Amino acid sequence: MPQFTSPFVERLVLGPQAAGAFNLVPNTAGVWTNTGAKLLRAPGGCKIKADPTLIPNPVKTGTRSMQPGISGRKSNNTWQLPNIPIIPSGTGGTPPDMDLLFQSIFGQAPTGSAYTMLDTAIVTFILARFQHLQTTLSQQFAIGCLVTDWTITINGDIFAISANGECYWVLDSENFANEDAAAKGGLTAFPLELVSPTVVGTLQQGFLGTATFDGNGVDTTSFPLLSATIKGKTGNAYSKDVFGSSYSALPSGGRREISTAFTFQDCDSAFLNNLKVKAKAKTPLNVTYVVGTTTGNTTTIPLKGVQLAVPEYSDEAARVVTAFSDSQASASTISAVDEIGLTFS
Amino acid sequence: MKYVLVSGSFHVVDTPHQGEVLGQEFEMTDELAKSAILSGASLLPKDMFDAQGFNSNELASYPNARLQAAAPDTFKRKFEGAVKAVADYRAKLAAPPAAEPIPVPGKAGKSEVKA
Repeated sequence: MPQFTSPFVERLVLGPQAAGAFNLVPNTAGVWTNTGAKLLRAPGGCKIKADPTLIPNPVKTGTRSMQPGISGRKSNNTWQLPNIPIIPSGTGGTPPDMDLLFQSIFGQAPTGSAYTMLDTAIVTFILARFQHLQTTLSQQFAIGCLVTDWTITINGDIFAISANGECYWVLDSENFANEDAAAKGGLTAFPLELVSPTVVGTLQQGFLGTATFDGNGVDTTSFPLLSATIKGKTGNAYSKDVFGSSYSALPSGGRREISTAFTFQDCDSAFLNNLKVKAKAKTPLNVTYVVGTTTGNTTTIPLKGVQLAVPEYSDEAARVVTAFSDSQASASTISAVDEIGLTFS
Repeated sequence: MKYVLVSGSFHVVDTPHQGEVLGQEFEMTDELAKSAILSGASLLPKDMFDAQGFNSNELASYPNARLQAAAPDTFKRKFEGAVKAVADYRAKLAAPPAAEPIPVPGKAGKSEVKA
């Protein structure tokens, strides 16, 4: 009788890659060196996909039937991590378990636990799906993952981020022996799951904290914030059409896009009216979200130069809500790369 | 060897080692402790923790970040020192081992770099 896969035996792992080595797995004599790899506490929904395109056979045959095609490029590979809890380490200055995800978003390692943008590097990482202690079930090992777009949700039950991206290739346990050398990234054996990995920090409520809009802090009586999201597109992408290989070539960075959307309970407060006025004038203003209230478990996300969308009003049971849809953040000066930061403290 | 938790919480998955209270002690191998500390767990060897000078009343009164927020400055200074000690200890664990000096004939105990 076959062993059935349970959704709950899955363990996700984030692992580092050397700078610039998007197509290589750190290894010792072909065996994955998992130093720095971390168990990622995540709900269901992770998807990792590498499916070579099928090139249809174009020749006429005298019939209307399709002939078998041939295997196309191996460069359209993707991953998805929905609703991953953002879990600070619990100690100021110590990055969280999901550090590599933020490194890929920001383009560099944090200073302590403070992330700032870097234009000149693209951080790739390994994302693996292991079936805990059940090696006969399908395991996946994605090489060269980079974040393309992400969303942080504020004021949910659990403070969380969703992220999607591209990857260089995905190994799986059933096909490892059939893969070519370029796909294996230096490995000679399919990687094994981490032994006794350590996780740090605890789940955070998404609804405790503070927020400041144009210098004015939200509160529950005159400036009540109901929901907020921060969205980003890194602009990073692989070159998928190079000659000489089925696989992608060096990733490069296009235009980055950061925006925030938020909803207030509508009222006549001066603070909210200020936002309504500046939305129409497209006056840039700063927004800061702080989630968490205790030392070591606080996440601060400052956004600069936010130009608000003009709000829309809608009825919602006994209240009217004012919704500012995705509003672009921008750098503070012509040479700055500071439209967003993120600090765990 | 005994290790003591300084801040935050940690769990070495698939083992009983799980903590969230300042001063919580764990008997674990050096190898496992090194792995946990390099993964972000704020642990110190017991002798190093003891050197931070926390008294039993402080450990009982301020076991976590929520309660530490209301602690007096004397405790906060000790706590900051302990957090720094963890960071320094982690950096020491992460550093590559120092290279052994290459013995040079006729100069016992000294190394020599030749052009």
